[in-house]
Amino acid sequence: MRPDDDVGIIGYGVYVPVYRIRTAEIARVWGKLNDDLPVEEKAVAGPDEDAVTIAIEAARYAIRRAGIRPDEIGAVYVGTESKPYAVKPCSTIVAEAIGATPNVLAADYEFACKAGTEAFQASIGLVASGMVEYAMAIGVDTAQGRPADALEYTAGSGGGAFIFAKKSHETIAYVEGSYSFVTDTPDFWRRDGDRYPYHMGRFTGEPAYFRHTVMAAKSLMAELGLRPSDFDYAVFHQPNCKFPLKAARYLGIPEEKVKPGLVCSMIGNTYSGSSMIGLAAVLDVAKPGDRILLVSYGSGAGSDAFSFVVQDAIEEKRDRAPKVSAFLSRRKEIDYSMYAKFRNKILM
Amino acid sequence: MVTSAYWRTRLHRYRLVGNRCAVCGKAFFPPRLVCSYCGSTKLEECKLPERGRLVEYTVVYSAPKGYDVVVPYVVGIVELENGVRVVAQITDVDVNEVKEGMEVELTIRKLPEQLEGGMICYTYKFRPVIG
Amino acid sequence: MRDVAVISVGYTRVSEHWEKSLKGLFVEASLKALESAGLSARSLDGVYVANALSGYIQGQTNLANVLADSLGLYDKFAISIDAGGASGALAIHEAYMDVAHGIRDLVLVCGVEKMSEASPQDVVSALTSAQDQEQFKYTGITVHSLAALIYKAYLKRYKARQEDVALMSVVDHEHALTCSHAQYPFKLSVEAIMDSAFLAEPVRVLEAPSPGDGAAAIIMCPHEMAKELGLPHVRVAASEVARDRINPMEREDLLAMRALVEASRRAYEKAKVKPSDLSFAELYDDYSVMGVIALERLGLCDPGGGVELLKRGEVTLKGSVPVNTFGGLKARGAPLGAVGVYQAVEAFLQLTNNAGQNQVKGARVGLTHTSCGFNSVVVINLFEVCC
Repeated sequence: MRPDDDVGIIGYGVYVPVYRIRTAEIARVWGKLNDDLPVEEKAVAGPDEDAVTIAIEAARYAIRRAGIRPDEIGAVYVGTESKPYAVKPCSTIVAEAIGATPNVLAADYEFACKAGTEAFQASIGLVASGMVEYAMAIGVDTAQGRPADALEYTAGSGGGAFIFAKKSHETIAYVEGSYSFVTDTPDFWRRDGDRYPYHMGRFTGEPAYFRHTVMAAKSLMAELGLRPSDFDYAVFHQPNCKFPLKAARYLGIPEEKVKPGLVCSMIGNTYSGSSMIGLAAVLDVAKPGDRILLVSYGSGAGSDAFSFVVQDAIEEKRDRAPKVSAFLSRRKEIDYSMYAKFRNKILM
Repeated sequence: MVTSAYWRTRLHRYRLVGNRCAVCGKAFFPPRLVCSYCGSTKLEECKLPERGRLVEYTVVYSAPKGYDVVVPYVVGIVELENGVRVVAQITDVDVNEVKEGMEVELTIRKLPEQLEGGMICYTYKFRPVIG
Repeated sequence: MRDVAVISVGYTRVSEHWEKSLKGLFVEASLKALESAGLSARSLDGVYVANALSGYIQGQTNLANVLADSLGLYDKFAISIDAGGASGALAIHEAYMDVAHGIRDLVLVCGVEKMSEASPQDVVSALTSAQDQEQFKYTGITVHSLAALIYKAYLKRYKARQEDVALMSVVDHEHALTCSHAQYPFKLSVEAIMDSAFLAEPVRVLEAPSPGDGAAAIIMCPHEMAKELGLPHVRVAASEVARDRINPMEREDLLAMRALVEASRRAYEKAKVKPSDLSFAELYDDYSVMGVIALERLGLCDPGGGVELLKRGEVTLKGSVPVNTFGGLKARGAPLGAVGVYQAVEAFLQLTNNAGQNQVKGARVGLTHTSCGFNSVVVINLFEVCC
């Protein structure tokens, strides 16, 4: 998928809650050994945070980097699977809070962990077609894993917001193209009314995450006539620290191109926020001219792949708001009991 | 407070929108209907700065219903960059690390209280500046 | 204008009156006041009911009419006065104005509040509901947190120690020891206060009243009528009301308490007395620090000098300016809307030489300071012995 007119990112922002729980602490509670934990620690939303508040924080930083007025934004999309309301959009609250209302399109996206990158595609389409001047796409989650379940070790909180506009001197990175690869693959789901998701264990690997991630990436490269070596960075969805590196191996991309965007060991799997925070981490360090491969993955299942080329404006804009590294070093460790209290796991 | 009352206050809750007297120049947050200094009714909406300094604070232990999960929490007086003072919760801080003079900025957070039907209240708080 | 007198009082103990309703408390205090004056309810020309929280806690609005009904009064004027903690004194002010201007002759003022029916958490919300709810509801800002910010400002400006400010509560409890209507007639030490939990740092639990139930009533009439009835009475020498910004954080000086200064200045002027002429003062010490600030802003000492007054024991019953002679808000108790009437009752007892062991010797003129919202509404009532 290539837009007729060139479109790019003109602003980005992330937000990660300040609280962290170490996976060793979770393992202590559930009597697991510490030697094979998927991440070091994960970010935990505080008692006054949810997907909406995190989205607002990220969005405000994105606007700061973009240097535009919020009322110039024509579309606000929020991609999340941790909507505080089953029915009532997050995007209206976010749009109102940032000052984009009322002349704005607002909608929520849901596709497990890739809702944010779908919002990318919708934003790119709206901007390329000239229907809006600026479109904002947010990927955010305050993911919950069932206590004692494998997902509890990784399900984290955080999000990223990106503002798209037609390519100009304001562009941080422009989009060369995107490719989506989707099948009906039931590796992970949460039924309506259920509190925690259900997952199919090892089935989430080869037929799900790897097949979709790799196929989307390969198809994108084929469409754009690019080879793995043409990319300076690669960002994948990060359900744990191993999967993105293994996906890179399948694609023949060396580890050092993945590691700059690999943040899950410090914040966990932030679901819809995961690949977006990874992309932001890369933009924090990339140089003009660098090419970035972004491939999200959403259970159910599908992957959205993108190729971005970094532009000059990055140098001036990246310091307008806190970088991902600032969020990684800002941390307050909590124990399992505080975590249980914050995440509403205590029956009251 | 019914949902519509909360809805009416969304601009000041979400964006720190106050107003300013066109006659004497005093700024107000939350916005007022009549200038409390000169009595003028010519008040113009104004967006307040989002950064400020914590000039005084207290740690609240005795709180309304629903606050069990957040006590103890900090309430402080924030002097914004234009001098307007706002009383608000200070979040993301441990009660033993909060300090007078701390640089803080606006954040929108959810409150433990819910309106009818589980309607969630989001409102302004301040937190330490990041980065 | 006619001179106005208080001719009789009636009151319940401040307590958790589990077996008594708002109506029960009201009827008990009102009948006691009527009985002690030898009057029947039907002889009244009007009833002024003071209450702050019945709409919030009991869901009872239209209170004055419901309560007048409970007293069997149907053809008489009745009105409710709600100004939070200032309700009681404001009701007295309204009754005083009506009698002074010849609108009504024989009137009953009764303050009644029943707080025990609310959970401690709901009491925090109820007390906070006196602030602008559009601003304060759903923010987590409580009255205790506002008090804490004022307290900190006071400690800083006057380099005072909390242990000294807390003496206000110690004095209250000392005076309550011999007060039969006090909620907490026991001794309290500074150490116990400083060991108690925080409501909002630095305000300690034992520096503020606990919820209480109670009713207090007074009967007022023109001075001439009081003389004709041949009843012991005291004269209302002044009743003044002043107001300030309702949110203390919007005031230019957190500690100036302009309404308190203004209302007391006008009351002193009207009654032709000086602060030093006061035989005693009943202060609205809803927090220890608010009592100390009241001492200062009423002119009983210089700003910042309240703590010295406390330390020197000048505010005890035997001191130069006895305050809270029956225990004040902290120890007598603070059934919110009734407080101002309890204070008037206590002034009556002092000035008619009926204060028992709490009697201030030779009391001639007494002041009551009643307020709401950190002196955003201040009522100063001055009572004096009739010549």
